Amino acid sequence: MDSATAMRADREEKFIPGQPDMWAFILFESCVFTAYFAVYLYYRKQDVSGFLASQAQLDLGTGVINTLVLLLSSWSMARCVQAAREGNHGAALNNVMLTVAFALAFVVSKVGEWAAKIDQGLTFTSDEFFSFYYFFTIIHFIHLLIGFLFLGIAWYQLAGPARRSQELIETSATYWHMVDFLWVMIFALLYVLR
Amino acid sequence: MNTRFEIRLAAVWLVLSLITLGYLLVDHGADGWPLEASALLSGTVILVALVKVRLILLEFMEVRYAPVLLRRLVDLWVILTAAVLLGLYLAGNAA
Repeated sequence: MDSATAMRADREEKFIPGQPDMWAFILFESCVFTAYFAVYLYYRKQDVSGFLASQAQLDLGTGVINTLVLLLSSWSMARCVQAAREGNHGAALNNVMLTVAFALAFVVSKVGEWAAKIDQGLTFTSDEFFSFYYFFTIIHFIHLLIGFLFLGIAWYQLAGPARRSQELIETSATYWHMVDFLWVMIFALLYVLR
Repeated sequence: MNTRFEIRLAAVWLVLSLITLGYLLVDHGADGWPLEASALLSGTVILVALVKVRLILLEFMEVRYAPVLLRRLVDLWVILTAAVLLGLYLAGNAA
């Protein structure tokens, strides 16, 4: 350990939030998504104007709202972890409920967006861009649905005085934030890239 | 809740949200319809997205307080992803 690291170590107690297994999963999953993104950019490169023409059918405003809602959910989940750590389980429970509400808002918004696209005749097989659009949004949606399971675990831990495992709450929060940051990347690559 | 954490988390959320809203300006700043390819804009978009992701990891996910190994692995992924995505986007564009 060099001296700068030692100084930092003295100042702050180091810890891994939640279970290390979850971090191994997240690092693995992030690399898998990097590979998906690479495949997307490779195919996009073969037909930039075609991809851009299809991308123009997406509503950037909807994507921005999706992102803002997930950022709100991440914020409330981070507050849940802090409150639970300080023993304020009432506030932590309120924050996990808030997170569930934001997550549900994302579900409604995303399903609405898919319905609108399908109405316009833009489906999985319309063109390459929309194949990627549905692939990314659906695979992200599946991660989000699994996220509800973790939010449920945090909720269950906080609801009963006999439970309250800080480690499980942190593990659940860590998973939830992954759902958020993967969306940040997907949003940038599908909606904003030129 | 501890005020210091409360303010810090709120500030992180605010920064992330403002950057996200900034995308709306970028869109109007570009030529709009039809969308035009722009390496400068796209490179910025990729890097800004990764800055946001890293902020979520460091602050919301508390990697900032984690052991060096985890922090290095997270940074390694960010750098790897930036290199792969920018490399793929930019490769051949100069021609």
